[in-house]
Amino acid sequence: METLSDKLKPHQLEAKPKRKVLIIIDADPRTNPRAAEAVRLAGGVCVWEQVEVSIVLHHAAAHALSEAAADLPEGKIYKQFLPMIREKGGRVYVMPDDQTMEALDTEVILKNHLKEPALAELAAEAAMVIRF
Amino acid sequence: MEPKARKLGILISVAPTHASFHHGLRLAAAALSAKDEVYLYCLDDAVAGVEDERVQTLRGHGLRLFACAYACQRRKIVPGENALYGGLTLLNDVMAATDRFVSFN
Repeated sequence: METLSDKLKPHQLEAKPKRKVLIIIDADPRTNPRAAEAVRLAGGVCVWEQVEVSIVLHHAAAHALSEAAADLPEGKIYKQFLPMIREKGGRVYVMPDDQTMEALDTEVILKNHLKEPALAELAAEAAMVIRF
Repeated sequence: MEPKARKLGILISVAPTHASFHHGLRLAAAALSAKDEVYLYCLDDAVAGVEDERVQTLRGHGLRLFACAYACQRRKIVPGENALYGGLTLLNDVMAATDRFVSFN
């Protein structure tokens, strides 16, 4: 007979799939501190590894991944938390508009670019979608 | 035996004057009326609303209220006893442990 101790065995707890959280950021990090707050939220949550966090830097928000990101207001937050999200298995996608595209390194775009159908798929798979 | 209460998590990050703040509270009120457990986390500009009368009324009806300590510190808001103040660990717990989670930003 299965005992309570059996039920609480670590392997059974680990088997529970993590809920997917999608954070879509529209705020322009050059002018709006909410972009940094959203990135901080993503990093601060994913570090506990209880949910699976992905973020999408939409349009002007993609400036957070530009070479000049460190010079942005709250630039430290982008430098600290975006790599942390990746280290914890999360994805950081970009969907820059034409103007923002010019500020991004080609490699950043190639590695992280997301198209509309893929965004729709991510949103459909996510248990929670948070938009800033 | 009564069915187990559903758990609803709500994140609000806008100021108490913003319409989305009000929408979040309306959802919390509806869920509390339905006997759900409601966990509200105030982030960013929403921390200014912790002492809001609407929020405290809901708290009196069973709302579990949390607020971001970092956001308070940045806004020079002194944490009181009307909410549980903490970091994003608290928000993580709410996200991971509730049946549904919605945000108002």
